[in-house]
Amino acid sequence: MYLGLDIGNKTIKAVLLSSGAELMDWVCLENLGIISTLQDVLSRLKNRNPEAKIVSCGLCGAGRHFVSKLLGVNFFRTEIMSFYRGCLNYFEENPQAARYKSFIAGECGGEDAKIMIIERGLIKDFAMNDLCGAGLGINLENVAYRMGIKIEEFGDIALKSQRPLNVSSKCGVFCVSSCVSLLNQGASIENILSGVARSLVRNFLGLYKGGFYDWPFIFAGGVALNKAVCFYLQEELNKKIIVPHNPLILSAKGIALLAKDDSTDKGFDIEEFLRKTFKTDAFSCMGCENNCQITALRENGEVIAYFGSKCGRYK
Amino acid sequence: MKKAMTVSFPPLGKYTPFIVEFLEETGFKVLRPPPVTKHTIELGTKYAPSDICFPLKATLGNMIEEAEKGAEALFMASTGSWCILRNYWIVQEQVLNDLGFKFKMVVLNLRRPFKTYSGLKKINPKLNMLKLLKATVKFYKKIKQMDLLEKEVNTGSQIKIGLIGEIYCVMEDTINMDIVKFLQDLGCYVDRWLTLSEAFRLSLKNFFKPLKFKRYSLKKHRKAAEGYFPDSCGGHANENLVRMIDYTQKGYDGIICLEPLFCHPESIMETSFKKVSKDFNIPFLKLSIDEFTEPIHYFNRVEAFIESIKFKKKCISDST
Repeated sequence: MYLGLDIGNKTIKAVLLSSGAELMDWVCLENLGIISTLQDVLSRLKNRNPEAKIVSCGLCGAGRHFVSKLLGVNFFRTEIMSFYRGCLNYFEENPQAARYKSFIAGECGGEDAKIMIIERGLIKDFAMNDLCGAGLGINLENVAYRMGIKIEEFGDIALKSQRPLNVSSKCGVFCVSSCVSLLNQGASIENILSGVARSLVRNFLGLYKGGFYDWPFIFAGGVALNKAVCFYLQEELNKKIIVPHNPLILSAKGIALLAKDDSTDKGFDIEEFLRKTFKTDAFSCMGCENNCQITALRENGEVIAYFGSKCGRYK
Repeated sequence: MKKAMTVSFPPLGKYTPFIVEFLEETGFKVLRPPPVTKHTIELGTKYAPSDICFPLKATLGNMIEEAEKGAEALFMASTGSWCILRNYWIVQEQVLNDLGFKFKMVVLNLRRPFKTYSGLKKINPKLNMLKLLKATVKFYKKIKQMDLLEKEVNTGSQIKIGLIGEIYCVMEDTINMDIVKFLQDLGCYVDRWLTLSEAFRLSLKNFFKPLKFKRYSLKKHRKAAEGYFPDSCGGHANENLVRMIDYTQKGYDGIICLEPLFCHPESIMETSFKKVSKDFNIPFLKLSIDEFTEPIHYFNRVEAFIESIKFKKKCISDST
């Protein structure tokens, strides 16, 4: 079996694929601390699939370098490659859309977003957000919390709106305060939420400055679960978008497939990993003016890796 | 006999020790510039205008640290170009004076050699033209050798990346987070055309040309570059364009452009870079650097860029 792990900032997702690359199981948990959440995710996976033998494992997402040392897994790729492979796999499994080799892939997660232009099966261009968080899932959560509703209800409430309002959209913090002042002016919650969804879509699409051509648009990531965002995305693009059945795990599936094709590791034992204890220490290096913050990772008490050194003094 | 003034200057990556040596050989008493750290950037950002391009913030931070350590004269480069690096020294002098430091600002401008020489002579009366020229030749030879060494890493690599961009971001390795080493560790061959030896050579070549004619130095691609951007721009933006076309003709696999956020010459040249990328089908990545750039996001984009190039090459070789 093949294991794909997407170590995101918001959630950690794990996907188990059979030897024939079929989805056997998947887990998605909120990231409340990388080591403990990973242990939780893998133990759930192991309990539900006790006979699973992991032949190769792939890592992607923001935490892949840290988890690589944690698990002793050497195969990792960026989210761009994993998401791209996941999208290709989606089109392989869905013949009605498979005739398109050129498409636009957008992923909007909790704390990162990306848009990729795939032309004839190859990545032509991509854009990732790194300057601001106004077009991300975390913004929706903050607004939901401030408006006193659950994030799961956001989409349904926003869809009732006939008139989305204009909300300040360049900064995540100002967006929330803009919503509160609209509420104080007597605006209805559904009109405010639909305004936020629409401005998020505009910020998200603004990541990529080139044209989208007339190609199909596949939309994934946690934010794709929000029906209002999908509705306004269709409206802005003026065409139907494709939202996979499970938009959360596309990248994790992609990295599992990439590991299946290219990993040279000898396999991974979940039980062996769960038997170990891990701990991290942080300290400041006083070697030069940079005073880098170093994190030491200990496995069963012994240091196995250091992170955060600029000069390589701690490797 | 007047006591020799301690001089210092904003560091410039790996070239800093050679510049120190050059100054000491010509008779200056040099305070070794401390390296650029987070504290340097914080200082510079605090006192520089907020919307100014990043190199001013970094160099201002350097100068404040050097003045705090006792530097009595500070050297700052200026150019004849239309980019506002030309006027950095004015802001730096104003800020340092406001902060109460007593120092002398010496502006080094290769397009104003007599004024520069007389400025240097005021700080170091023992300076003479012969000594200066000898030391310059020695300095140029050393940095040329170092620049050639950089191009000897990974020469057999399948992935060749051309690095273009604004001069300070390309040369100061703490600002660009040692991107050349990062790319080399990923197995790429990196050609950084804007090395100090090359910048020096170009300055001398353009010495007698009025600004409006110093657009494109590579004759063979001049016409093509004019087709994209038919006028002079500031900094090295024109030169970056013609070098990018050169890289495409040499079969490079990708171009990375480093620039400070809101750099005017590089911003105005961006559409031309993108057009060249589209016309010659070469992947292009622009990295904007400022005080808020996070290493994680920065390296993630570079890694994703290289991965997509590697994958594309693998698909093409698999299908043939």
